[in-house]
Amino acid sequence: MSSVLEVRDLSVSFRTEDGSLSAVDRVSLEVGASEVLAIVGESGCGKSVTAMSLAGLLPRSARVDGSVRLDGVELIGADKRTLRSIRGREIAYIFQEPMTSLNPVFTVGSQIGEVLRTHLGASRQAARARSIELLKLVGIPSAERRVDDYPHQLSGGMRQRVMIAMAVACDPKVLIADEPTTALDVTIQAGILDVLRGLRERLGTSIVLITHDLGVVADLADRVAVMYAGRVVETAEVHELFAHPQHPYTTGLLGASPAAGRHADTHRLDEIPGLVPTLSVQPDACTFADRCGQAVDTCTTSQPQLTRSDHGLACWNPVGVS
Amino acid sequence: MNALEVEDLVMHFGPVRAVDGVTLRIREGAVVALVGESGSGKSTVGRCIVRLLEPTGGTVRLAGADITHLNRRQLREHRRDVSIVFQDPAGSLDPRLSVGDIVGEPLRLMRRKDIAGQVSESLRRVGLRPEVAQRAPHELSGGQRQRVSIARALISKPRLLVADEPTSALDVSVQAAVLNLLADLQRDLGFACLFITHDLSAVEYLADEVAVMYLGQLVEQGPRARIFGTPAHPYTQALLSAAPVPDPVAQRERKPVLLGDDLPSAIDPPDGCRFHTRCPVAVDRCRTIVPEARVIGSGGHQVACHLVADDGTGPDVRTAEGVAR
Repeated sequence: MSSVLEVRDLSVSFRTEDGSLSAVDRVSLEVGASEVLAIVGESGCGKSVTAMSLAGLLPRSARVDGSVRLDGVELIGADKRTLRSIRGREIAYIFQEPMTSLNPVFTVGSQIGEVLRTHLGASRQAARARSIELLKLVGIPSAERRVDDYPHQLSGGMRQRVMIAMAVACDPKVLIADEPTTALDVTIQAGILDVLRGLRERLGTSIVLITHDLGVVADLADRVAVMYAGRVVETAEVHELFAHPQHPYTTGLLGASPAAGRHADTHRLDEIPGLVPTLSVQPDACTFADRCGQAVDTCTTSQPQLTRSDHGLACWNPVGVS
Repeated sequence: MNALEVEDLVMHFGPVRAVDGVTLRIREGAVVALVGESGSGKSTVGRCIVRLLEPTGGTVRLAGADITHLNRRQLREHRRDVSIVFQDPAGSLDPRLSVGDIVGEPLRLMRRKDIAGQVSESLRRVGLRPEVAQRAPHELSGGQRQRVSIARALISKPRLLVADEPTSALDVSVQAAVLNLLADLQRDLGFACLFITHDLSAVEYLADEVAVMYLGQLVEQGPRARIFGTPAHPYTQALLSAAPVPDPVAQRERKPVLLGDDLPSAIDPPDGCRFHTRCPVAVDRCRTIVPEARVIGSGGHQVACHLVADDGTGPDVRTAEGVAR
């Protein structure tokens, strides 16, 4: 399968008062046409920084190395004009908090319309008609009326649907959804996940889904990349990953979530001891070694590299192999 | 005796009817989960029980004593009976105090002696070293801070612990440690617990009984196995169907009941059953007549829905046609 988005050895570090801070270290990812890739991990693992670096949304204190190619066009180091023509048009974002991402003083119709006029040069009239179509696409009832609503008149779930409508207004090749349902209740979340599934099926949009929620991953993802301390430690097709996790961090995450029908009387959740490290430089060791139940000598003296295969793994002593 | 009896609890904030007639009992040593989505009023119930709020109506009895309208001085002798742990450990720990002062504060307010010894003991019990007493909250991780909150809450050996979303701000791996800790402490110390959360997997792990709230009212309550196995209220069914499970094979066979995004306002809640505006099986009387909570079957399973018969049979919104249980 040819990739729409191809990330090679992406590294991001931030200049801080205390020196340089490594947030993302040599991450490589591929996203195929109409594929959903989930990047999963806990806070501080670098998943959001990875997502933002894909189209140059990071602040200037960030140093970004490596390569991000969208349909063969290199985005890292691209000039502003190139980026402007790609962002919002070929690659679009939705974020966790829909209220702060919408402008409170404009109607949702004018905000979606702005995207269409800026990128596609649509007329006011055409933009309005297309806005209504888009609102229907994301499942907003009575779209003809809602198009004139202001953000505060909409519920949280509706606002997130409007954000998705804006993001897909120009029919982007890649949609980056950064914790799109984290701020929402589960009954609302189910609807948003349904919209994302629909976009992939109807428009063929590729989706990079950033999440910490393994239930959301299980629901929507085709492939999964598990991140820890700035690196991808395991990547596989979704069924393969849940059925045969091999990295001790992945098995730890899966064992830490309560499963259906399990009560504390008879079961105990797996705990991962210790804390996620903050790194100035990536050490010559596995960054998970000091929290890992099955670390061996090699783990503290040499950094494992992610293998290039359908089930990629960065581990010296995988689960269920030794 | 019951550790907690809440009768027809009402809490209005001006025009906002946050809690509108909640009746709930917790047996000594039982864990009751209060679940619902944002705006359902579940946290407000918790705050009324620990009397951070004075209820607008109804009664709250702690171990038989009516504390609904006691003043600050009168409340003091009941303070040791109930404690609360909040969602955000960073915001609920005074940054200017040492961990030791924070954990010992409840005892100091009760004018107890030998506080230092009990602080060490309480810290040890939640899995922290006694030396942590010297540290400031900001020096600790989120998980450690939540352990400090729990140590503070349990130092007075309360009969009832109100835990308000204690794991929601934490990462999965840290969540697991805090859930295990709460389960261990509850088993060892035997306190009753009102576990307020929106996380259904955590409910199934910790709770003995489950109470489901929607827009200020309880729609269903009963033993854990009944609520998860044969939920009777359409809202409970929808809630359970919507929470994704971390298993791609199982998850892709499930079909969530989609309710629509518009949660009605607690200022002007719908007439009749408050859920009728989003309920896929509502009929005419749901729009006009308020359903009373009724016991269905055995085991103290209660539901407030016109469409559920006394033997528990009724619609299941998770299946297309609706089947009898």
